[in-house]
Order: sequence, then C-alpha cells, then structure tokens
Amino acid sequence: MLLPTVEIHAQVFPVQTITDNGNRTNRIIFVFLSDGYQSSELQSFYTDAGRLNNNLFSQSPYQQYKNFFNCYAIGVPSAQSGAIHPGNASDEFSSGGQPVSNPGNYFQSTFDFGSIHRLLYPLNTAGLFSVLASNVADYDQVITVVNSPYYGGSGGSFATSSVHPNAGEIAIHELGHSFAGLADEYAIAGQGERPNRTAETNPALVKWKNWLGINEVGIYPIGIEGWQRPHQNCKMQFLGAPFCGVCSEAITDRIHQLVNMVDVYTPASSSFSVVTKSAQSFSVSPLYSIPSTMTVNWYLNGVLMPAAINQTSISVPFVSWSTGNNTVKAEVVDNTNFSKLYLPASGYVNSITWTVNRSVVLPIVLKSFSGKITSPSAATLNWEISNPEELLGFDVEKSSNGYDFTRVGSMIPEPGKSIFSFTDSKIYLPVSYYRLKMKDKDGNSTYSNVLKLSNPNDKFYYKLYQDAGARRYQFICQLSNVQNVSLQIFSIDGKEIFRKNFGQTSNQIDFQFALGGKPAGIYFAKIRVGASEYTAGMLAN
Amino acid sequence: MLKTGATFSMKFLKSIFAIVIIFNSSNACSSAGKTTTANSKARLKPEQLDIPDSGFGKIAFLNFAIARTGSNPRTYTLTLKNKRFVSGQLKESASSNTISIQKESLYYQLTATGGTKSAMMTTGNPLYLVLEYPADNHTLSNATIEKQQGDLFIRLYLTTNDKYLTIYKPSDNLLSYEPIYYATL
Repeated sequence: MLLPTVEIHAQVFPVQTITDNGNRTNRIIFVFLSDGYQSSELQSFYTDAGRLNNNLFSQSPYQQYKNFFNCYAIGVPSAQSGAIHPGNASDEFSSGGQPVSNPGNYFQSTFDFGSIHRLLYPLNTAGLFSVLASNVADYDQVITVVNSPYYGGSGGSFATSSVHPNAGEIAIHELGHSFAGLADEYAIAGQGERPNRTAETNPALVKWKNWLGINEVGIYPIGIEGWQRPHQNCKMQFLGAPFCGVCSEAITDRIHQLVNMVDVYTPASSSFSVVTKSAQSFSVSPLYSIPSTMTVNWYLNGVLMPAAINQTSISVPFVSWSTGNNTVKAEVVDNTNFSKLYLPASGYVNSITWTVNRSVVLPIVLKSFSGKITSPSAATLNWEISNPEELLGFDVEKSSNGYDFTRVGSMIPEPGKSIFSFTDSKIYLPVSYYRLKMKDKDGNSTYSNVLKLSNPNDKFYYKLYQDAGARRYQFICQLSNVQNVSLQIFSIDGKEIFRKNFGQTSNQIDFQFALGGKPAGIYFAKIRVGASEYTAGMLAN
Repeated sequence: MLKTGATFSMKFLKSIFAIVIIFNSSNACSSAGKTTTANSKARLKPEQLDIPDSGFGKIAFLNFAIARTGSNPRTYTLTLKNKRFVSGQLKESASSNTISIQKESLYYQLTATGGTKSAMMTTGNPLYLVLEYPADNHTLSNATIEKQQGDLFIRLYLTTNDKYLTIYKPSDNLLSYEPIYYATL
C-alpha cells in the first residue's frame, strides 16, 4: 500500500471550560465533543456536556477527586442537527419508533452501527482525532455527545453518548474501561486478568482479597467458565449502579497515577545553599480530595516534624541546619478509604525533597552596592552585606575602563558591622568603575558587581583630528568644570617631543599643532585632565 | 469461540468491509506473563517516518492506513498517511505492567538511542472493534465488528532521544505482543 504522507491541519473550534481546577499538566483532562449540534444549538451542547459532567462527578470516586480534573467542551458545529438513523438494524424494534434520519453531522454519529440499533458510534474517527489534535491535544479521556434524545451510546477508544437521560451512564461505564482499565463484569470473553476480573478463586490469593466481605465484595462467577468478578451490582455490569469497592479502587489508583498531590511548592529549586542566618521557609500546595483524606507530613533530615503535620508551610531556623547537606521533605499522603491495597500512611504518597547545603562558613552576600559622585574629583561608595561575622575584609578596586582594576583601599571591618562606606578622592574622569573584593574567613574571596560612576552634569570629551600626510593635528577638549589640562606627544621610543600646558581651565580647548621636521612614524598623545590620563595614537607620513 | 453472527455489508459505512458480529463469546484467555515476541521484528522491513526536527518535543498525532493481510494468525500492513505535531505535554503513560493484552487493542512503544524503551501505550484496533452499547434494564451488551482496512490513530510525545517506533498486535493467545510495524523516526 503506497500512500502519500501529508501533514494535516483541522479547524479550531470554541473550547468552553466546564471545570478548571488548576495547572493542566497536573490535572486529568476530560473532553466533551459535540456532534449533531448546529451552530445555533451549541449553547445546548454546553448545557448537555455540563449535565453529563455533573452526573460523572456526582458518582464516587470521581466525586471525591473532582479537584484532580479539568473538563472542557469543544463546540464542533454540524451542518445539520441530530444523529444518523438508517433504520436497518436487526433489532430495529428496540428503537421505539425512532424515525429514520440522515443529517449531515460532523462526526457522522449513527445509530444502528453493526446492525444494532442502540449502538451509536461516530464513523468519522479521522475527524474526531483531528479536532482533538487542533483543540485539546493533551486530552486524557474523550466523550462524544450526540444531539439525539433517543437512547444509545458506545464504548471503544472514545465513549459516545446521546442526550437521552439514561445514556450518560454508558459513557461513565466506558470510562471504567478506557480510564481505569476495568473489565466488564458481565459475560464477555477475551478481557483477561484485570483489577476486577480474575481466574483466581482462592480467597487468600484473589487480587481483591482486602475487600472480601466489605460492601458485598466477594468472588462471583461472571458467567464465563473460569472467570470471577468482585460484585453482583457494579456499574461495570449494570448501568445506573455505583462502582463497587474494587472498581473504585482501580479508578482511584489511576487518578493517583496521573496527578501529583504536591501541586505547587516553594522554593522552586530543590537544591540550594543557606546564605543567611534567617529562617528558611518551605511551602507546598496539596491537591485535596473532597472531603480531604490527605495528610501533610514534614521531615527534616529524615525525622518527622510532629508540630508541622498538616501545615502547608514551615520555617526552618538556621540553628536547625547541620553542616553539609540537609534534607527537607514534604509528603502528601492520601488515606482514602477507596483503597484497601494502599493502607493509610503507606498508601498514595507524593513528596518533594529539598537538599539544603550549609557550609562551615556562610558565604558573604552583598545585599546592596551603590555610589555617587560627591564632588568634581570624589566619589562615595556604600554597601551592605549579610553574614558580617564571616568577613575578613574588603579591597576597594578602581578602573578607568571597566576591566583593568587597581586597589585603591582596604578595609578591615569592626566585628558585626554590616554597612560600609568608602570615599575615593581621585576619581577618573569622565567615568570611574569600582568593585569590591570580599574576603571571608574561609580564605575565599568574591567580587561584587562593577559600579560605573560618572557625573551626570559632566560634558567632558576630547577629540584628536589628524591629517597624517600634512602632519597637522587638532586637539579639542570640552570640560564642564575647572580642570588642569595638558597635552604631550611622545615618539614611539618614549621621548617627549612636544608639550602644551593649558593650565586650570573650564572652557573648551581648540588647539592646532604640527609635527613638521619630525621623522615619519607613529607617535602617541598623552592627554591629562585632572588626575586622569588618556592616550591616543598618531601617525606622521 | 461461538460465532452467531453472519457476514454482511453496511451501506452507511464510509468504507465497505466485511463485518462479523460476535455476541457473548464464551472462551477466555489469560494474559499473565506478557512478553514481546522479538524474533518477528527482525522480519519487518523498517519504515522511515521522516519526523521533522520541529516535530520533536511535541505531541505527535500519526494516522496510519491499516489493512488486514491474513486472518490466522492476523497479519497487517501499515502505511503512514498523516502526521501532525502539536505543542503540549502528555501525562506519563501507565507502566507496561498495568496494561492487559486485549484482542481489540494494538500497542505501540518508542525506543530511544541506546535501546531504552518507553512504557507500552495502547490504542483500539480499528479492524477489530469491540463496542458496548446500552441494552434493556440497565444492562450492557457488546458487538465485535471486524473490518479489512481502516485508519489507525496513535498519539505520542516525541523527545529528541526517540529513534524508533514499534507497533504491536496481541498474540493470538493474548500472552505476548507481536510487532507489526517498525519505523525509524
């Protein structure tokens, strides 16, 4: 079979949220799809889907775990209203006089599928798959709602239900298969061992042995030789009946398989170091059943913290940390009675563990570092640190270009002092760069960020124009305050060949000079402005 | 297996295929001790899915044309028809241990570089539909509908480590998986 492979795209339809209980990556996503609803009838579909949804979540164990689900309704408009009914089923007598119809519905949902009247099935499975991909690609379970008042529905990969008052039960039964892997509890072959079907007849060995004698759970023959079911009146056998204990446990198992009860937690990073002597906070937002059967436990270095049971946040004082790695674990336990396999305190457990490192010497953390020009030639730096008791001292370093730093001062702080100030009386113009080298008692040192300081009112600049062929040059310098300015020219071997002192000035300097009579080659101009020096290359041809 | 139905055709089906209706079949099979039959995989000619780079890290929707080529045992041919990639995440698949082998299902699995296999995923076999429907007095009944060809849809999340896709059918005794399609991504 040779077929061209294509990438397909389908239409995006309105998606109405029925229930939104939080982050969809940690919720089970149920989707209701419409078929046989015209555009003008979609509001009815949302109502019908909401009713089916309410029916589902009014039944245990979905009712208790509805916070674990997000439910959406995709409004797919059909050209015509209703379901197809060819009227040719072998059991057509069961239709109750339902008229023959052939509407143009989107998914071609039809009664009489397989010549069985109540077998309502969407033939356009390609369309169904495509609509899901375009609209709710991360679905977990799908129910197609067909706009027909007649009794019908089907299972399979996706459940289908008409809007007949009793038809929703078939969809809920089918979720038992597709969602929880349950078998039918009536006589149907080929389903093998399942949570609610077994060939084992020994009460001591049967997989639901923990349920025997509770709520009428036993070991009952299905009606197929060799196979047993746990209950005589479960929804997996009769529509309208509740799920038995064994099936409820399987559904609860599946819910817990897909959803983490530790829904949100802080700190977001699960591994970090203690950097202050302040207490460290931890929190979790558990996902609770209704009514809650969850317990929250906290452990510090593997030891239960009794006072923190059922707290959603704790604060660990600095003194509680041991040197080296510590662990804090928050554990959410579901002690639900829906499970006999997972007994309380050893059952459904989700947890988050943080690894917290406390070094012998706490790192010095620079909480703030700022500075400002305080006079034409001076700047003051201010900073604050945490953990001053771990500090050995500071070096203050300065640069005119942001990368060549030299030390301009050192400080040995008074014990416990955490706020510091330093004044540099010879700043570089037009810009000075500063950084701190912080040395701790552990022998380590770290650098601060680099601070760039310039006088916002300083309009200083200089330019050096050259006509290398004529060996004529022009030096322009703009100052905003009084500075001592000089210009020196050096040959490449370092000999001064020209000097001009402009003295104390605050005016613009516009000075032209020539290097006539000097050998051709490279020269250097050194410009001094106050305490700052600038160097520029010059060429003489 | 008790077969009480007859072979007939249905005009309203998009595709016209032979259909066998099976009611209340009475034989039972154990699915204990599941294994994957590896020797038949070697006989499969590997296909090339040509997943674009942009398809990794997304949910892939793959549509295959599937046709039955034999009935005892059931054999199939598969050809990729459509592929689609959508942003998003899928939840963890159930572990392979929790999936029971059923006649009406097909199974698929990704293999990453180094041979690591994903959990087995399952989907309905479009050529062997077992459909339940509401009967009278709150009871259920079911019909098995067999077709010769149809569309198989699978959905999976592709990571950049994934290299191969294998699709399996259940063995006739429902004790193992047997590969029916093998492709490099």
